[in-house]
Amino acid sequence: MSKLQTLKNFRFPKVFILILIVFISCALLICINFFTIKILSANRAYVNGESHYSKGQKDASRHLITYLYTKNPNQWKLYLEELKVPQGDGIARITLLKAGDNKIARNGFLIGRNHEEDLDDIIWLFDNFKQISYLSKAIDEWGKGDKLIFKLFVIGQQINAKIERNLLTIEDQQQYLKQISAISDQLTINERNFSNVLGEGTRKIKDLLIISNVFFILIIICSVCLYYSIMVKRLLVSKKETEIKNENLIIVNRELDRFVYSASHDLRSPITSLKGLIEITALEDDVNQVRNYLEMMHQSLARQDQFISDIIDYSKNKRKEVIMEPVSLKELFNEAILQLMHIENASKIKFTQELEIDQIESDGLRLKIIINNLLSNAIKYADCSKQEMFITIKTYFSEGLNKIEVADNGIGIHDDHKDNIFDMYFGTNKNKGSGLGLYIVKEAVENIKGDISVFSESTVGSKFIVTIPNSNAI
Amino acid sequence: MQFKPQFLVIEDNLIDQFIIKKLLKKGLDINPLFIANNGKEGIDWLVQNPDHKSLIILLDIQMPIMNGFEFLAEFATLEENLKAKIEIFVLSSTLDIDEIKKVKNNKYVSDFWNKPLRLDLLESISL
Repeated sequence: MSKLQTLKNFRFPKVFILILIVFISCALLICINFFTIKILSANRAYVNGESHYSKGQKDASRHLITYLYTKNPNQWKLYLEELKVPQGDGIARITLLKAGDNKIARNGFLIGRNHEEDLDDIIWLFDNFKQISYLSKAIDEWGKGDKLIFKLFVIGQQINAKIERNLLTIEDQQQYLKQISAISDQLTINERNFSNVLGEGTRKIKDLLIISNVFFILIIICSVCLYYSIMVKRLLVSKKETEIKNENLIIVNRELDRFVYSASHDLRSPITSLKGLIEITALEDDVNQVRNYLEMMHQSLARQDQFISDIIDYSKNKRKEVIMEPVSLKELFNEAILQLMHIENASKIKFTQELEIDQIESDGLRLKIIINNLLSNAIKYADCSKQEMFITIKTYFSEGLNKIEVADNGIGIHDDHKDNIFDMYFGTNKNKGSGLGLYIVKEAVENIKGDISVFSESTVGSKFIVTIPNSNAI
Repeated sequence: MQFKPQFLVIEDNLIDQFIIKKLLKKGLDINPLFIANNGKEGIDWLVQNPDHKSLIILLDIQMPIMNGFEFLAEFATLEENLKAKIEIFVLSSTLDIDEIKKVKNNKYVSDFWNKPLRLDLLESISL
């Protein structure tokens, strides 16, 4: 449980960073889109304003020329009316440059026939971007235009003064017409430049907008993909973990079932034997026979005792953690032999020890289980028909690993049984053992990540070699 | 004189073998009887001794090499004339209800008995 928790803590920041990236990208995308749309909308308002400016100027010129030739005061009025449009824009420009957003500027733009709702965008863009190259260029063109508008206004005043005083000559008319045409032509150029600059800026902004949109969307997509792949990977890993755990549980369960079944039988069997022995003892009158029965009762109890001790070894081996400690192999062997001498025929067997290695670093409990079981098997399955029975114990260092070897000239293992000797409850003669011994040995060897191999021939003898890995390899 | 059946004991536990031998001798005066250490030895004995008059088999369940159930499966494949006049009694220390049911359902098994062998049960069927 705690392992899972630390795993979670370890993984959290990686995913968190990805989510943060997605979040920031989205926020930036929204901001960029909001401002670009605002800028584009303001640009549109400027282009619109420029068209009113141009139209006002053109109409004013037309009315002035008409007035110049017809002297109709109505045309003068109309001229003044139309000229107010570019003049209003001019006032707005000058006050904006000097003081920023103000009432006079807004009023000027309204006179310039700009839409009231566009004013905020127009002023916002002017205020914030007047230093930016494209807008400053446009404002520059605008300023030039305003100067020309002022010239047009001055010419209008001169014409009006001459007409009112009746001083206008034909030469004057032609000269004014020339001047008006020249101003108008120049203004057309300025106005076109203004539109062009704005258009160019708009296109640039549009390109930037597309690029930044693509860029951030790619970032978002990549982050999301990465996030998902991490999640899917993690899911797969945890699924695999669960499967392995499940499999292990199934194995443990099956083992437990078998264990309970066999244990109930093997623990009960000596009791029923004892009951039977008591029954025949009751029927027996011969004291010598009764002594014989008592000996059998003792054997039966010893078997049960051995079985219980095997179960304890089995459980210890399964539950206890592997602990590396200095172990004396010599001591382990001597202890085991001393303990096993009570087995029938043990005293007739010749033990030989060739211990090249004594002190090693390993798990004492497991080594004890392994050595005890191997030696007890070698004694129990000794071949009494042979003249000399022997058991040879060797320890040596080979191929960088410590090895233990227990060899005997006992009854050996039949070829049919070699594949099964390490199975739980396998045994060819249950009078000799519980069938747990070699199974526990195999488990103990696996616990210390060692290896066990068997060389045996029926009627000749057996040899078990246990490889003990170096302590740092575990 | 009463007719006495022959006995084949299929049992791996040496002490149990001894107990059965003693009980049969003391209770029913049956001697000798044949002993097989596991199912395989039992089958071998049956094949080698086909001409028995009347045979009672006392069969253990848990045995190495060939257990009681495997013996029964192997027994079923024997020729009919070999199986004739044979009565099988399963004698085990098991307490597993499923196992006992399985034994009792086998058509070759006459009855299931718990260890140790009870002479009164044996008398009721053989005499």
